Amino acid sequence: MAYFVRIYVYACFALCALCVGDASAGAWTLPQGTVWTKLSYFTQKTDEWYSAHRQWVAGEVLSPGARTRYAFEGRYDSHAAFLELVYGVRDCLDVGVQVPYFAQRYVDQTRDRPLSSTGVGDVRGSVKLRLVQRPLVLSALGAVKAPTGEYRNVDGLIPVGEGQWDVDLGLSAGRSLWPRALYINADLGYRFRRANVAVDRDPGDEWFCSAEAGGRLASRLRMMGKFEMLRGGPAREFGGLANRSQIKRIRYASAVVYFDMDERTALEVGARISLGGRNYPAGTQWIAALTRDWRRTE
Amino acid sequence: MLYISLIALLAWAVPAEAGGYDNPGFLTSHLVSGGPPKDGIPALTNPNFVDPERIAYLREDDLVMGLVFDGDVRAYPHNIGWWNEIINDQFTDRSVAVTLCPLTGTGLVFDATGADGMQIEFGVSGLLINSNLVMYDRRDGSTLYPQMIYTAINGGDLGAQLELLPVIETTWGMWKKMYPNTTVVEAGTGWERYAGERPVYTERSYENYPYISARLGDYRTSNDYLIFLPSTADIDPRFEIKDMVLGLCLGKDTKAYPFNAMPDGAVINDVIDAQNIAVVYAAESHTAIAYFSELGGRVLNFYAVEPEGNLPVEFVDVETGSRWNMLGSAIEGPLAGQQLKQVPSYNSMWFAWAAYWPDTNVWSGEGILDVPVLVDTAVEETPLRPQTFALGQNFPNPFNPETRIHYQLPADGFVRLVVYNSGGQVVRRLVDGVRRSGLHIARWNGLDEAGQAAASGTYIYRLEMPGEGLREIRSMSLVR
Repeated sequence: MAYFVRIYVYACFALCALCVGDASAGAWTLPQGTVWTKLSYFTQKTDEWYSAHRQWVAGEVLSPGARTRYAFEGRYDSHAAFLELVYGVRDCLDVGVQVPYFAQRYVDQTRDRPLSSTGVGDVRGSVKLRLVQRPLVLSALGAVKAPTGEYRNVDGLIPVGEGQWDVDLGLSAGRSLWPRALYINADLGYRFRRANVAVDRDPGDEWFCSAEAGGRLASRLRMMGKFEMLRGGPAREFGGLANRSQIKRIRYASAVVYFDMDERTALEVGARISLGGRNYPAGTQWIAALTRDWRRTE
Repeated sequence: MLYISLIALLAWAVPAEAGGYDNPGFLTSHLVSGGPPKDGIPALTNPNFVDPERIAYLREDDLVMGLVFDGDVRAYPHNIGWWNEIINDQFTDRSVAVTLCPLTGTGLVFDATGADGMQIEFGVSGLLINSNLVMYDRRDGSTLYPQMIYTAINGGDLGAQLELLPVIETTWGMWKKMYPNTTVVEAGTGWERYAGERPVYTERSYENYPYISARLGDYRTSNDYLIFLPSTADIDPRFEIKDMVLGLCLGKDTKAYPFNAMPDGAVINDVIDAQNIAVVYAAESHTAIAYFSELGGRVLNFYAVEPEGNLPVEFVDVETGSRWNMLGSAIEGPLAGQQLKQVPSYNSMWFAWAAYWPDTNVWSGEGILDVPVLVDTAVEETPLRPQTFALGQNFPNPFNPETRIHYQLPADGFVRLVVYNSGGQVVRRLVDGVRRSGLHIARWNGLDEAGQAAASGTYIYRLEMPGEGLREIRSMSLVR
């Protein structure tokens, strides 16, 4: 059903939002004058989700959050791409912009034709201000997403993550473990979400956090492991009625391998595996990305 | 007419004792997203109606909801409801909203004529309570009406209740037998609201039932799954979750008539909230229709007879011997030409009915007269043919204000039928004299010998034929 589409897009959106943190390596900021870009691609095919509500299957009650199959042979085939650009205004200040592109398809028995939607999503601007440089790197994060995307509410296939104003505030803390070629980082943030006019719903605010550790495995090979969590509140609709079945929660574990093609360019591939959640798709997202930076001296 | 009433009226349809639904906040806390967002399931508005031969998406055994107003006969197939759930429609003198929730199997029709005579449109909110469709009023875009209780649960019209209209739910083949002049919804019409926004469903869309899981089966019949578990009450184990029932709400009483329990061709005489009704059931066409059995101030009792017409159920009233068809029309006898008034009611999957009405009464076999009888007096009725000695369970039971007691006599003779209180004292002598052999009905109006109202409680009634040495005893409950 269409709301599984929304659920999935929540996941994509959450990923998109979290990727802002990835763009400039957690709490660290870019050197002044540096431009950092990333083109990333995500894909997922799944027929399972973390249920939003109680179900009854074969005589058993499934509670919200239970991992189960979509009803009526539902299946997603989803692709998303994110183009990110971050600029080091000062050594301690980055600004960035991110533009997503979604191509999604959902099929189940209750549709006489697949639901599909393709297009550019909402533009997101971000800022990162480094507050403390050492030994702990501590930065304040901020982001604003504007409803600029071209998605329309076609038969329910609208990403609820898209279509409304969001304001993120957060903190990021990182530490290098040099001389070991390792780092650790943690983010914590809160997303204020305005009502989504297109679907007549206030999707509800949410907390997000992540913890990651990475390091160099070989001269050109790096690796990162990450835990992410998103915890949303109930949506409000129809004059402010709380809808607890729209509560969104997800926990992911990710593993990403980076291959440094040269000093400025890196190729990364990874997997993002769901650990648990509620009102979210379950399964593995596959990730591929290309990053490059340019310094002012170039 | 859609009429707006406040909390006091809410108590009529959603009694507090049935589950606390007089507290709207209670119900709004049970809202869940059903999948598509608001209007994600596209309600139709004013579709075209065409002759049956012009449509190809219906099979003879597909279900339809049928309406007749001023000779205008229209069929609203479930096939349309599977995909669109609400059809906003207009007749000459009124507007209606024909609604079907595929997840609870409930088809209800509401008057949608505004106070100004304009059509009120309803849309699909995308929300559910107890797995059941929640509609919204498109005038303000936010007032929610759970289909099965059709009462506003939020906003300025909180407690307002829609007027439930009688509808006949039956197979397409049976509906055409009932009303050969019927018209039916033309596929692909009624979409003007969504022009350019979404694909229009075609005849092909409406041909196949969509809620089928290869793993778990047809949603309508598989007891292995519910996509949305009811939340206002636990699953009621008295029946399988997907068993269909005919549900009636009259006054503060609710009663379910399980399809699986009713004999094919049954005509059930019953009393709900002091209103006499008759339920007619035809199994093959999945048709259950309830009628008020009081006509011109006279209560009629019915028994089924072998049908002579083309409809599967016919019945005769005990009082006049008039013959009726399953549409509630008297076709022979002194009452020929009379029409029984249909009771607004609807079919539902058991789990949903029991979730909304956890204290519901359930029909358990009472009220079927399987042999013809003739009325003798206002108190006691005399048989046509002999039977064995038997004392039936009164119906309704518990009762208020009146109940009926069947008994059979093997021979003519002296008979006593006496009601006693729990202390063994005589409360009322219902029969005390010579009666012919056969089936009789005695009525007790809850008054004692002095004409005073008897108190609530359990009463014993005893039938005896002293000359034959026969005696039988049963009990009943009077609820004040």
